Amino acid sequence: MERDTPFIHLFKTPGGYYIYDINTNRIIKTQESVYNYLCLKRDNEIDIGESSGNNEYDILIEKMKGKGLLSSNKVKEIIHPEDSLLEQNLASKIRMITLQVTQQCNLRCEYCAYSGGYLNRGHANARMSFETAKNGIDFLISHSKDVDMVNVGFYGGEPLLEFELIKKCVNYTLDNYGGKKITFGMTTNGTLFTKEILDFLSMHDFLIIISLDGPKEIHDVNRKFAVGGCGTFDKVNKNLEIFRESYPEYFKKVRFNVVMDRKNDFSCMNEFFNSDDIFTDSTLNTSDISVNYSKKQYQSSDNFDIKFKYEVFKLYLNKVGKLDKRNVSKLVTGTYNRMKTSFSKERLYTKKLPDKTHHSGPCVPGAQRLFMDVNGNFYPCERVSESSEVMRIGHVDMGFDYEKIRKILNVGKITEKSCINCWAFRFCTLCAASADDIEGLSAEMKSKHCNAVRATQEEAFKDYCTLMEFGHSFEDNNGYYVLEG
Amino acid sequence: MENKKVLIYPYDSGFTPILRHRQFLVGYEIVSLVSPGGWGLKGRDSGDADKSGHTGLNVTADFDEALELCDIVMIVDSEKHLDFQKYIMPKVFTAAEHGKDITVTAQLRDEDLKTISQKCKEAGVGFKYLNYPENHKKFPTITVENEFLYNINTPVVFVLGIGERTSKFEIQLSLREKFLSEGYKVSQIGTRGYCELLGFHSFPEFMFNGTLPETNKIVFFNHLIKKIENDEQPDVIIIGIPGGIMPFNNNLTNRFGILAYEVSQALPSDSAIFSCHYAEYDNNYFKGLSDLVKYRLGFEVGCYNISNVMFDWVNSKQENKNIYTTLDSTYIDEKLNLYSKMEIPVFNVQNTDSAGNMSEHIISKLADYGNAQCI
Repeated sequence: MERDTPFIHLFKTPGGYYIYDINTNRIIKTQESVYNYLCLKRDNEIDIGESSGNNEYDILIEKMKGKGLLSSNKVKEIIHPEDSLLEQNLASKIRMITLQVTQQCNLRCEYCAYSGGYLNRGHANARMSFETAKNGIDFLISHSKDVDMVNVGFYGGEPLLEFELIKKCVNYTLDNYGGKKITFGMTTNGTLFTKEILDFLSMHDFLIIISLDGPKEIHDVNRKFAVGGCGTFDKVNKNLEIFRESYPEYFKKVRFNVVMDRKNDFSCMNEFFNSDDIFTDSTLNTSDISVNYSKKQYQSSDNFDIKFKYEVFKLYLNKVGKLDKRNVSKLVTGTYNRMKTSFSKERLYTKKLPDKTHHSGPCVPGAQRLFMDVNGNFYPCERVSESSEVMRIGHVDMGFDYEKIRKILNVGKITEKSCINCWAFRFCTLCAASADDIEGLSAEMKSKHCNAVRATQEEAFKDYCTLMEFGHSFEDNNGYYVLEG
Repeated sequence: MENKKVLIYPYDSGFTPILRHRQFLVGYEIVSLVSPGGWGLKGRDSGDADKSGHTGLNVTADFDEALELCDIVMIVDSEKHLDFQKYIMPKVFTAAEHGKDITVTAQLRDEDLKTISQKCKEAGVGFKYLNYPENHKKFPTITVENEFLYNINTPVVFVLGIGERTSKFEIQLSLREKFLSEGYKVSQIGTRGYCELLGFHSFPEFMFNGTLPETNKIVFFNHLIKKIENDEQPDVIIIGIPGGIMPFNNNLTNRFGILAYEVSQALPSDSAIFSCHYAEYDNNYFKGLSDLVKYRLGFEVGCYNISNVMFDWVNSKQENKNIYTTLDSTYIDEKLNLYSKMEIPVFNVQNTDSAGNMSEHIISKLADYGNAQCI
């Protein structure tokens, strides 16, 4: 006989006791006694149905079950909902292509994916031909009929080493593909800006992401010129000043990519980004040094973590009206935005988990962030290893390799049993990159990330509920309700 | 008289139903389909626009070259948005300067209508604006005391859908083709504003009028149908209902299905074709939908159509607008097998055979009613 164990996750905050009901994807605030009763049942592996039906807890539990909560239903088979329509989606819904215009870079950053510290290609003199770039742009347009707006991105190496090619690509796109909203973007190290380049980027409203890690003493630790090995901060800083002076309005749209090396002093970074008026209107994207494909482990310092968490705490104080926004660090605002997206904007409520579905995490490879290397090879995005056979999902001249794409899309299949039983199924952040050992997708490698995903999610649940306890509203507040009784 | 050679701009799946039934464009021959390069149709068969089989006519992005081949430039509605001032108006000017007549079926703002009209006059070329005929705009106000509905004595077929982009216009043209070929006299109101071009009536513009009381609209619609019935003495009346029947959720309201409700109050239908977006439905879905239509709108669904357009729930929710995915229509053919045992049949109008079966099913339904008519 099947056990009637509710598929739930129990957690508590200083202000409340909660049940996360995986089937309905709802969080229920409950009483301490009910919480403890459910913990007891869980810890002693007692079926929820094994009750007299007389005590007050059982009555409450029955009431919740009557509302469709506490179901023991679980997914029967891991298969991505987009699997059956994969070919259809990739035929008409590609949203962007990122062109690797060169594999060369004028910098040699310590943590760079192409620095030798990762299972990935190294820097090389390979550059993209205009013919290949044109084919990539043509491919995007002919595979995006159901998308109103597409993006052509330029990536490297350092893309501005190939500025002439970029200009030709932009002009080709605009001359040939009117009638569709096309945006352009670029991730650059910010060392090669000239007046001509800035004029061009501004004229075409490029979304520019500049890599900048903090003040000189932090930025220069990792971000160095290839020739001479000097730090790049002074050059970037000077370029930013010229940029802001020449195009003050356009400069407000520039985003900064801040890689946080947790060995560094957070306060120092924080002060730099929050006090320098050059960043007043800018958006900062923070990320940790990538662990995927890394040959070594990066350590975090307690000092960094404590200071970072304190800034997050201040952010939350602001959200509950206890601290002025001026005191909130720009380096942590992404924490709240991610929480809002995950819990409020994108959360779907269901009656139950479907029999066949996939944990969250993977995107449709090729549809969201198609990346094309200098030779015309396709990858799901720019963050995967170009040395990985698994991730090479096609070629601009031959089209997509659907068999490979299916494997990447359904990466949960390799850890099916544990995924089906995981309470964080709907909030998982793992995609195939976390399982890629260059030769194939490894269940062992993927599983190593699971505890961290669950721990992060547990914290996110607690932060979300604590903010609600203090009266914060996430606009769309469905799914959080107090059970009466 | 020789057919006028027509250039269609901007071409996309919005025009494909007309292209597939171009015999209804009496007096016109479509010689060029021009689409902006960014729409991804350049050099491809025009049937790729709705992924429902080739038509034999290719799409070009070269407006100037195509202009040489035509007598008339027809500016049409498109599913995709196109900046009128940036892309369309300059093409109208170029065409007029090259001595081509201009016909516009897309809805124009008053100032654009005036500009185009003036330009055509100056260039000495003909101009026709075929979007909602004038006589549909003017109806006297009916006081509540005088509200009454006529009985409609001709069999009526409704074509409606769960939302926009459910192949409703293709169904309407397909039905028209079948009924006419079987020798029936058809009166028809279509979901679009330029159906007169195709030989039938456009959905009356007053139904979209924000200043008219809703009750008046219901009465006017009924009176319009009665007038058409009296004037045309048809064997059947086909009415296409624009939009959907209900909100999808709190953010995607589908205009609350208000038009479907008003039409359903204006007159009863003898049969109805209900079209859905593609999804993997179970049989209970259709049963539930039939009940919903029956109790909310008061008529029975005669058959279902599954369109080859899928509603993209994830991206629609994220971007707060309706986003769709067009599927290859052969994919729908494969899926129809799942519903082969359903009491109410399910068709794929984009497949010619299935579309024929759909029309035959409706004709046979109406014939059954006719056989048991109470007098």
